[in-house]
Amino acid sequence: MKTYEQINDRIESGKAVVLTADEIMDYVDKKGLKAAAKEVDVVTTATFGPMCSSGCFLNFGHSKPKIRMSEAWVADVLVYTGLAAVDVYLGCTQLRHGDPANMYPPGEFRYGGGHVMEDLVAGKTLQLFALSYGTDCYPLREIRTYFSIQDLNQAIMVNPRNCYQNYNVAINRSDRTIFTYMGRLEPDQKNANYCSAGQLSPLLNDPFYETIGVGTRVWLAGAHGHVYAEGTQHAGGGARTPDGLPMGGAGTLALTGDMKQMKKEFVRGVSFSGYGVSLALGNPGRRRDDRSRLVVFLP
Amino acid sequence: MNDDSVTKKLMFYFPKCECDKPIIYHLVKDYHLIVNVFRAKVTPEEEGYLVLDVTGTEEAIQRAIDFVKTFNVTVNYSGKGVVRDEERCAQCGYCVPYCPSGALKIEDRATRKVAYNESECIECLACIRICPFGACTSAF
Repeated sequence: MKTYEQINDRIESGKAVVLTADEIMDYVDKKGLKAAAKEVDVVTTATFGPMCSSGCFLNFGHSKPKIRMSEAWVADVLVYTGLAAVDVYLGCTQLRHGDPANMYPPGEFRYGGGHVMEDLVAGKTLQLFALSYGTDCYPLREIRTYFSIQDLNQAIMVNPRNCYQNYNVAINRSDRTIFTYMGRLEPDQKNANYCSAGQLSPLLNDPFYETIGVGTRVWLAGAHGHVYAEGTQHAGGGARTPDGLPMGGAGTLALTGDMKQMKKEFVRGVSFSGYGVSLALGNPGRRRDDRSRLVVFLP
Repeated sequence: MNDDSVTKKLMFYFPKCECDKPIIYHLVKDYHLIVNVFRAKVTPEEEGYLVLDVTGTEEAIQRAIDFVKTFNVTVNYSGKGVVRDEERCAQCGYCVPYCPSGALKIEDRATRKVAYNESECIECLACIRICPFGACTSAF
């Protein structure tokens, strides 16, 4: 048995043996559980998939004269301005203004909040357009300007519902194709979509939340991040298998991280035909290969 | 067909001035090639794109391509009608069951990475419609 202090010392001195949750399976098969537990100090987990709760707080700094933005759009995507003067909240499922959505189904949903977040992390220049009612202290009524993430004081990602511990497999038993947040589902159960990182999943590897909790530091899309709260819809008390694995959705984590430090390959806008837009995000992981699959189909 | 016949996937680009010439007819009639057209399009600017398989002897195919090149036609040997951007692909596998020809498939079950074999692609464009990441696009 190792203590956290011992493991942290080994990490500090560069001697720690770190394996992914994928690699540890083979390692245990080869060396046995006891030897593996003795030799390996850290096991990393990871997810990559659509995280529809993703969003970010952006602070633009003050214009001259100042504005208290009351309505605003970034790259024509509506952002929330019911905050302090030049703070906005951008949500990843917000559609671009003028998108026909599902008017001619299945809609394409080419661009939305998730794509704005991808473009921000990629360092692209985007347009901010904002309106205001004007006050004595914030007289400016309108602003249109261009910025990139470097121009912002802060760009802080928040994911109030991330890393779902377990999730349903989606099938379609009707006789027509349906378009869902689990992707396109063909009639008569012709395909089955699931969204889980499986053996790599953080909370499947910690079924009772013994090592992951509020304050845990995580790797979030290339940046240092934290678990800041239990996730929305967290419901860890449901039915479990005899081994303790949840039989329903169960636990979720609320994560946050500095978007300025993130890597563009892990922050990806997605368009689900007939459903909408979202953001696919890479979570606690170690290297590129750790990314798990977002959906896999059964023939 | 000869035993030494081969099949090659090609993409032709016809500029405006060449769009009205029956070039493919000559591939069949004069060079004895078996032609299988996957996708063809004439744009509003009257430029033409054509993706096809040609089957015949190496020599006949080469002579046919030389003939095509006497026109102002660009020949692309790798048949890039559908382009997959490795950088944009997130390896999610969503496209795989929608690919009827097996051009997109998971070759290694350990890594579960999506492989794309361009020569198997029949240009149905199903992957373009289904990909959430916009990794697959059409050249025309």
